[in-house]
Amino acid sequence: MTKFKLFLDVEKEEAWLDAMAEEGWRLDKVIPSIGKYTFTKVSEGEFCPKTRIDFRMVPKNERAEYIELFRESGWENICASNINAHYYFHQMSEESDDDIFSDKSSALQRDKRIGNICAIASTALFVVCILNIINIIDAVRNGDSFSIPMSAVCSSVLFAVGVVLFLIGARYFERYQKRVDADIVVIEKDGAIARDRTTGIFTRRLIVLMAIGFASGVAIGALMFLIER
Amino acid sequence: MNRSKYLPLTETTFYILTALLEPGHGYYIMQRVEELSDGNVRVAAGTMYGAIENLLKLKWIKAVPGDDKRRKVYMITNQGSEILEQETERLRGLLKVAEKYASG
Repeated sequence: MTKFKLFLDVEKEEAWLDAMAEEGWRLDKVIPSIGKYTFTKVSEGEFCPKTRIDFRMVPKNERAEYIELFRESGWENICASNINAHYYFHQMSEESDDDIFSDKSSALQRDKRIGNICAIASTALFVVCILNIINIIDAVRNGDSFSIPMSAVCSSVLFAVGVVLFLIGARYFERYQKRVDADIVVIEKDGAIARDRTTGIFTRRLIVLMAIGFASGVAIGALMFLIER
Repeated sequence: MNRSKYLPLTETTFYILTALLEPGHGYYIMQRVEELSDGNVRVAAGTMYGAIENLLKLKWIKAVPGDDKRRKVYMITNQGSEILEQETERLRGLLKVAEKYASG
């Protein structure tokens, strides 16, 4: 059975996959970028594995080691998407661990990693957007009307994607921060027990910086529009 | 006393460093931790990978050169041993207080 479903929240995705597994649907294949899930029904009484999703940028030369570590501890990799840093694992047998994280802090860190990747990606998109806008200004100056519509469309699409990624990242950061604040969760930072204060300030500052960046992008766009008039 | 800002260590970190007094790869560490803790502490794969990354960054452990890229072998460094020793000292202090005042 094939299902299409898009998730913005990795925890909801895991919960949905758990519910599917509960009904006896084993996830065999997934293409995260288009949200395509392929399931097979296991026969009555047969073990139906849970799926867990890790999210991290694993350097190419460490990928084999990373996947091997999971395999040895009972988690089979069923999808490694290098583009968006998703790694799907499902349990190899009933003896496999129940989860891929064994303490609260490492489970929380996943939210932070997703937030960081979203922040980097949206900032990169934003930079490309600005360059494109400069390009448009140039084209307007030179009276090169041919490339204007093309660049304008590109810019707005990139901008829209950037905003969406930014909002997703901000939500993850917010959840991470909220859980850290609420629980006085012990965060394993640099291997020691400490409350993670610096990250909160850092991520908040990053969000403000990016908001200013986006705002100035819009301002430049508007200015350009006025110049054109 | 000049105490390291990294103390106290988390239970997971303490066990991983102790396990790496003898060189071993990721899954070996997971098994060893379970053994050392009489089955009380189990480190899952995602947590383990993050911990290795973290401890390498801190230079408390190092990769031992080897051929098998899929099973890199790690070992505690002098810096790591020092931290472990400080932590053990701290635990001893706690134990002393506990024995004197806290236990029955």
